[in-house]
Amino acid sequence: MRDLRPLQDHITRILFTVILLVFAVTGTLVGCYQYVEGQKDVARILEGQIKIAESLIPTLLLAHEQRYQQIFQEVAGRDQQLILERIGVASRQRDPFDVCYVLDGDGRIVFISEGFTNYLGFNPSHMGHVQGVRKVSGVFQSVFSKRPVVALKYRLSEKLLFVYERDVSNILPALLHLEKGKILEEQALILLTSEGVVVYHPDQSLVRTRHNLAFDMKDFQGPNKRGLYSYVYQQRSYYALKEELEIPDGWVLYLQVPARPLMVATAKGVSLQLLEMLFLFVVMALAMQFILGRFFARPVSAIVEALAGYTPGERQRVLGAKETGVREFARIAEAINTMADDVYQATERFRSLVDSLDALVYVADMESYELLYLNRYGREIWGDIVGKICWQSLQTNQQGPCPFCTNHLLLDEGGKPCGTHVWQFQNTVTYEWYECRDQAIQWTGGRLVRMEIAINITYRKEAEDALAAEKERLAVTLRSIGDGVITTDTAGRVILINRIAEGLTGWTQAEAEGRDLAEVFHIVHAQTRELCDNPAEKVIRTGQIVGLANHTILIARDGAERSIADSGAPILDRASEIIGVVLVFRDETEKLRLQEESTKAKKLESVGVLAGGIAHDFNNILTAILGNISLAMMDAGVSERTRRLLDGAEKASVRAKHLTQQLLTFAKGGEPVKASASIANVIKDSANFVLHGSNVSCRYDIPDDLWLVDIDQGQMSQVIQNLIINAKEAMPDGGEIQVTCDNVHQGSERQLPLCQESKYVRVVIKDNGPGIPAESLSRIFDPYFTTKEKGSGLGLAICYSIVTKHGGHISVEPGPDSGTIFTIYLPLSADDGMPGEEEEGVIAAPKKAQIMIMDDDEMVLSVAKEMLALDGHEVLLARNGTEALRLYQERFASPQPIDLVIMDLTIPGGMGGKEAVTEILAVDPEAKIIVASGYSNDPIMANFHDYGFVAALVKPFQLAPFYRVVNKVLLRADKVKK
Amino acid sequence: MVLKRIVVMFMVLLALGAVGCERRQEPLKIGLAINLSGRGGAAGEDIRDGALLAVEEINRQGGVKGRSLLLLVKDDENSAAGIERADQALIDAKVVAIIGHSYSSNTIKAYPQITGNNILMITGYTATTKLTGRDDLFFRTSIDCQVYGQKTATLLKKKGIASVSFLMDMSNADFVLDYAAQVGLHYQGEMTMVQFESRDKVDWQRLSQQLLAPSPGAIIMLTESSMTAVGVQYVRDQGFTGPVIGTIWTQSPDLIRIGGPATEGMSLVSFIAPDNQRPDYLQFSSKMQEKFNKPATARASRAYEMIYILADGLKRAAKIEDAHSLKNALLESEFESILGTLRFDQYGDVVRPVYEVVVRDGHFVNGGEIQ
Repeated sequence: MRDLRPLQDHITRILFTVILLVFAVTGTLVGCYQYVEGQKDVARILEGQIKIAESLIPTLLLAHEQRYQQIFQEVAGRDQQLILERIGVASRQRDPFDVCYVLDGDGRIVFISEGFTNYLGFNPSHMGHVQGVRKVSGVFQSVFSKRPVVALKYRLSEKLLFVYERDVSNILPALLHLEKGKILEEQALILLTSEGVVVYHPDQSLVRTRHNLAFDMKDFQGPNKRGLYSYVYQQRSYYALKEELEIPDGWVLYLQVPARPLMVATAKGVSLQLLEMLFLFVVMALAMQFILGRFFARPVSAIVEALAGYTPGERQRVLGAKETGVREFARIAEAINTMADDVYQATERFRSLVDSLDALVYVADMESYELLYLNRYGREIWGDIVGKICWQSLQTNQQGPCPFCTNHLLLDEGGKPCGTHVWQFQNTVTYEWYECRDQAIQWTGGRLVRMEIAINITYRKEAEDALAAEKERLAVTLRSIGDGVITTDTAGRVILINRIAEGLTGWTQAEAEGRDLAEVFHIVHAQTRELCDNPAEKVIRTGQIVGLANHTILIARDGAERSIADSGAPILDRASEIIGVVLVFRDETEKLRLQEESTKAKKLESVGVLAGGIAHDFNNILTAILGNISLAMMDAGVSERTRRLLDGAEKASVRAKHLTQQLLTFAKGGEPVKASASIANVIKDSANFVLHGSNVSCRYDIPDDLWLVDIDQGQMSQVIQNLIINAKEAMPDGGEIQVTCDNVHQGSERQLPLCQESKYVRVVIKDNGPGIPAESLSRIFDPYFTTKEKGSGLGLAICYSIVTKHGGHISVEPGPDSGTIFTIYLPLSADDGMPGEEEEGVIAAPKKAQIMIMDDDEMVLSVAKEMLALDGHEVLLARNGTEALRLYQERFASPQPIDLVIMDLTIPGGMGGKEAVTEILAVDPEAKIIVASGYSNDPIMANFHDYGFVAALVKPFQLAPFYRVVNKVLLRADKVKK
Repeated sequence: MVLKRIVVMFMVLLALGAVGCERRQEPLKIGLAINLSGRGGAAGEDIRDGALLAVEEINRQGGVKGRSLLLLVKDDENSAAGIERADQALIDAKVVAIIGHSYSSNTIKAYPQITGNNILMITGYTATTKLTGRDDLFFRTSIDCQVYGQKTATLLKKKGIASVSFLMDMSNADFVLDYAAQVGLHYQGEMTMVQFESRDKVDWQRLSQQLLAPSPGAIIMLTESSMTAVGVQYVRDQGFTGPVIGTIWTQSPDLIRIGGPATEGMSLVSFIAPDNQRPDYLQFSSKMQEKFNKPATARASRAYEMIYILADGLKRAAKIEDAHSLKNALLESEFESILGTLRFDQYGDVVRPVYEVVVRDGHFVNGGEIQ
């Protein structure tokens, strides 16, 4: 307000600005008009003079023409000599520097004015002024007079040509005389030839030097509306009238005046008028200022002053009608008084209204915090505190403006009110809760104030807090439940989803809220993959608790699938109306997998028990078969054909034996019973066995010097068979399996996963099948992992187990082009490992020994007895460990003690070898006891020394190995004794 | 308050007016002192026109170091008094250089007055050897009589001329005597000197008889173009059919305009090649026709060339209005002009080729460089 000017100042300023502008525009227009009029005057003056010059120039140039024309008429047709004499006489009366001459038919000068006769005979006929068609030539320097001249030509006869060179200086006096009568100061007459060369100019040097003035006239323009041309010559501007002469043709006459004097004259003429106008305008301005001030600005000021003293809402008369002095303004004053009364009435009504509110209403200054208004509600609580500081009166313990003051939220960046701020607050005096609606409003005087309407919400707040706490408890409970929980409304839209459900579905609470349940809880049938019914719809439809069907798969947001079990229940309100659905579900995937594994394991276990039982009996049977075949083959009376047949039967029995070993390994696992052997034979036998009759062949690359390895041939055969079977199945259309063996040193192989041994035999089995997917390679040895539709997932797991128990390593990698490569590393045999040193052949018995055999199977006892008797030993038989112990004790003190005991490992229902060995050794620590069992993979068989045995025999017995073990023990015992 | 505002507005208007009326940079003045009204003055018109055209072009291109050029033309009237008057007027006008004069004699007269006032003097119309080899403020784009004499002697030998008569206009005695003497240094044949004063009344019959009396093999006319034009008519009228040789002094359209068919076959010894096909020369020639309604002449082209050389020197001069700075700038490099490449030796004398110019079919044609 302080920056605003009073009305009187505005009126004065605008008035003088307008007058100044009008004066400037008028002055400019008058100046232009005067200048144009000045140009017109100049043009009018010059026009008369140039006309005189125009008519004068031909007269001056042709001044002698009349006289010569008369002579030419007189001599027409006369003798040449006479003509030349008459012309000679006439030429004596020429102006100074004029030269005249006559050319003959050859163009040579036959007559020339006095003073130039030395040029008689000279031929100028080729020169431009003679040859040109114009009667009057341009200005040129005469060859004779060396002065600027124009030439006039007259034909005297057919042969004679009269040329009159008129010195241009001879026309100058007349033109100079003309200039003396000039009307305008600095006006000048200029005469140029058609080439622009000066003929006449006040500067005579230009004439003498035949200056080309047209070249020097720069920025040539015109004519304008006054007929004037303008140009710049030697940096001065000129106006000129221009006339092109007919005689001489092309000559141009200029009558010029400098532009500057014209402008100065115009300025002088205009300045006086402008001064008069300025005086007039100033007088008018002062008069208008007085009138406007007296009858407009003064009443307005009176109204303004009266309004300044007016307090809105107060009952008062603002302005007396006569104070304005003008009828119209008196009416305005009456209208203001009426409006002030209306404002008072409205204010009273407003106060009553605000006082009647059951809420606190107060207004405070936003800068000084002074309370400007407080309604009745406020006054009853805080007293009449209007005029006090709000943070001191409405609050307590405040050291300054309240930290929770909302003033800064009520104005935008430009300081303008920005709406209502609603907030809740607990008053520091009453401790009551209020919902406050704050806004900035304009108060009297235009200042911005803060108005707050605060409604007591203490009761509501308490109820809301209780409800919120209840809600929080419920939410925490739901989110803490170990199962997935989703609640929906009756439309099936998700309301809540707990943390477990978030993990299972892949949707967070924020993402899922408001979405359709089917979108978040995407369930399908495990086998059919069909969408399951929306459980929320089902619950709402039935009003009952529903469970999901079995084999329900929940597909999470990231595509992960999980088997779930769930149930849905309606959420009921107090009136038992359904207000939503709650779904509870859990991840059953692991549980189902464990169940499946358990089932599978149980199946395997039962099969293993069955296989073990069968194998045990089968071994005993095979022992009898093999033993008897061996014995039969030792009969010298057997024919060769029978011997071949027996040999075939023996081989078949040996294969049956190996099969039994596999069955046992499959059934029980267990430690391998290792013996030093060449892996080559195992590989070839196993591969040929598997590939027999198939369209897959096997190519071997096995060196002769392949080292021996300590292997359980049965288990290792199982490994090779499994790998070959896999390779074969990978090539259903046939192909070739490549098996490569070589000896490797630890140092020669990079990243060899073995470290304990330094020498290995490496077996590489490579097929040409499609290969194993890269993502499956790392899991290929996991139990129950299979890429086949009907695979058990145990084959390669068993391979891994067997090779590892042999101290070796098995790995898989994709082939260079396709197919799969399995690589097995097996440590070098504990023996020196060189091939060809395998114990074969028969060791002779060192003596006829007393040997006791303990077994529960009569067939085994019978065959073993026959085999040992055949080798010359005396054989005692025992059916269990108790009997064996008794027999051993009986013979121990006798002269014929038992030299060797062969005991079955287990005796159903009685003491087996495992227990009996301890008892016998207790009697005779030097006792030599061999354990025999069909369970070649039993840990006792592998580590018989740990249990007190001296050797192990695997059922079924073959004659040669049997003798070799028995006689080796006897031989060693015999050596000890000696 | 209101009055204060009105005063402020008037002050602003006055300030604007003052800025508008700010004094422009003074133009650089170059003097041109030549014969315009004396005998042979018509040739001066070409010099003046060529120089005016060059100045106009340079100003249109922005002038020299932001300053326009102003050519002050003075008529020396081909007289000693006129020369002194013209040069003094230019010196008083504080020109940065004076181009002049039209003849060797006039140049020699003006030389001490101009260079004595520490003003650089340059001419394309002075051949006297009296100004050759001087370390001074005098420059010229025309070759000197020493070269002319040597080349003229070479031309005479080439044409197999055994004797020669000289027509010598003694109004330019310094040139004609110098020229004839330099020819004599290199020419072994008989030489006859016929002298006259062109300012006096010339008895052409007698002069031509004197020239032809020794039956010369060739006539060398050491006269300006209009004198040569008249003279060649008279010797041809006397029946002389041998070679008539002129100098660059004669190389003007006036020779052919005034002399007519009698000039046919004449040879001129000149450094201005008439068949100049340089694009800038053709442009210059075209503008001469357009602006002055006349063809480009040797004199006009020399004047045009000199203005551009001066402007170039002024642009490169350390101090723009110092004659010695201008001199150093002119000496330090070559110039590429409409007439070809040229340079000044350490004394300000030009080094450029010389040609035989022949009048053929009413036109000047190039007869080849005289080696």
